[in-house]
Amino acid sequence: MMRSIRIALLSYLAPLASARATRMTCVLMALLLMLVVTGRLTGFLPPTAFINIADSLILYGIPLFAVLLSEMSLRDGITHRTLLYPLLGPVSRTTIAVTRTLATGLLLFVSATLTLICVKVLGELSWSIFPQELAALFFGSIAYVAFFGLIHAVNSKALIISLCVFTLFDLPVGRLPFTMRNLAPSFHLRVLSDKIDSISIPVMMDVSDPSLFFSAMVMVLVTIVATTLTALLFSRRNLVNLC
Amino acid sequence: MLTTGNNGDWLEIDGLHLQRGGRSVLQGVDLALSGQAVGLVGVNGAGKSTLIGAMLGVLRAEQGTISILGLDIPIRARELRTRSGVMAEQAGVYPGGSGVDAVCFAGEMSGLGRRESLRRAHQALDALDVGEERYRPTKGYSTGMRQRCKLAMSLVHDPELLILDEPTVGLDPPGRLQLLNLIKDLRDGGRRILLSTHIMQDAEHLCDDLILIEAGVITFAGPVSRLVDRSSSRLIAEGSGLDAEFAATLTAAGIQVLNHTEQRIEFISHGNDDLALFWRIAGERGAELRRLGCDVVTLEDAVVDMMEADHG
Repeated sequence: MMRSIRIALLSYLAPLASARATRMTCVLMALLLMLVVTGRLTGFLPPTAFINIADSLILYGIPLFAVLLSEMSLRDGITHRTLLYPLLGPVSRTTIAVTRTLATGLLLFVSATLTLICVKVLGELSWSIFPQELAALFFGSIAYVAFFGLIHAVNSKALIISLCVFTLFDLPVGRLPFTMRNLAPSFHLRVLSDKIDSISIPVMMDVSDPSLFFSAMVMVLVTIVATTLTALLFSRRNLVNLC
Repeated sequence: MLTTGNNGDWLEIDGLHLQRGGRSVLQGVDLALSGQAVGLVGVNGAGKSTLIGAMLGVLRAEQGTISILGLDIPIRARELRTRSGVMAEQAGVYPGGSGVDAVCFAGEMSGLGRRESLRRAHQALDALDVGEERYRPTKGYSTGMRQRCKLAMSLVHDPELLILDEPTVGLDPPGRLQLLNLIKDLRDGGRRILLSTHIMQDAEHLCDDLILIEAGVITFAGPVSRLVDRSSSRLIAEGSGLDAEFAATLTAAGIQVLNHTEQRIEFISHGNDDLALFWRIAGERGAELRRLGCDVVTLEDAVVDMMEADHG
């Protein structure tokens, strides 16, 4: 099993530097860091701006970067035929799909964590909720990558569809002041990072208090369900583009 | 270890149907072959790569069974992939870097450790006569060097079966012959070869058995010798005195005469004895020969004849 995971991981990491999604993610993160560094050095960013940048990185950065990076799990390998190598090796398709999905999630988690640390250092922000933010980055990264990876597994126009799902469903539903918000991963990301923010509506409704444990479990569940479905679809798929 | 079926056949396919994008690409493929080297030939788009994809379990068939080296596919496709090396036409030299890096990577992809992969990468490249070029970036390789590198990548884990998809594509004639000779050495070293190609001479050069595929249908599967009889050749003699009596004398001596006129006779020779007999009879009868030529029937001729016969 470990040998299979190693093979699947190697085949994933080898073309990483040349993947479009990696390049775009690196450029966007570098731009964000440049903005923070320039703001810090020139003083044009007020101290509160650094807090907003850190919050945005967690609440919007993670889902948006996940939209970009989830392409790398399987779609990119099929398009550029790099998946042919692990598929011709002694590895099951399930192992390939699960390993690549989780590796992409971890990649996003590591790069987002490094960026957040830079923003916090440069903005001289408080580290008191950093462990909670770290948990939000971790659960958010793997859940969103798995979720958008599933969309990539079923549709070739996944980039647009994923963006639509995030902006038209996930974001608005996650800010509703009633129980339906539990359906949106973005709500649980807010709970995990302690940045709950609901839209005001004139109707008052009873709503249970958000729980860190519950939100973490929902994100884990999203990861498991989405990854399993992706692996299932990938295992049964005729990879005609590769032959 | 079970490597072949009941009749020594290592490649058995029964009633295979496969669709691509709703279009039927393989239609009722049936074959059982035991040759050391099997050629899969057909024009571009005939279904060769699809058949290989199905054999490796990358593509799933709607119907039918495949057994390779005694392993049922796709159930035991992983085991087959461990025991076989694939040189895929679609795959490049991956992931870049130097030639030895690429071959070492292929070793790791087949489950070998890093150090063992590196050791075997050098061995494979040595076997394929790749010298110092192995340390150059693969991006700058010629087509011939790239194909050698891809062959080394398929060989690095010492597989018992090599599946080669269009290995000579894009090579110039000397490069093609060089690569074919390398593959021939591998075959003579005991490896089974499945060679997919649209170049008939490549299959003739290497293969004992042949699969001819046309628009997803197998039109021939069997020994190459059934298509081309290499033990005999058709000879054409031109001159005077080659009359009906001369032809009758040849026939009486046991030489098969195909046709004749006053100036020309065609006959089958099964070797030097037949040829010596022909010269003796020609001398006895005072025939004067201006020209004696050999009309070799190549595999390509035989296949084209068969395809034309199939299409009426």
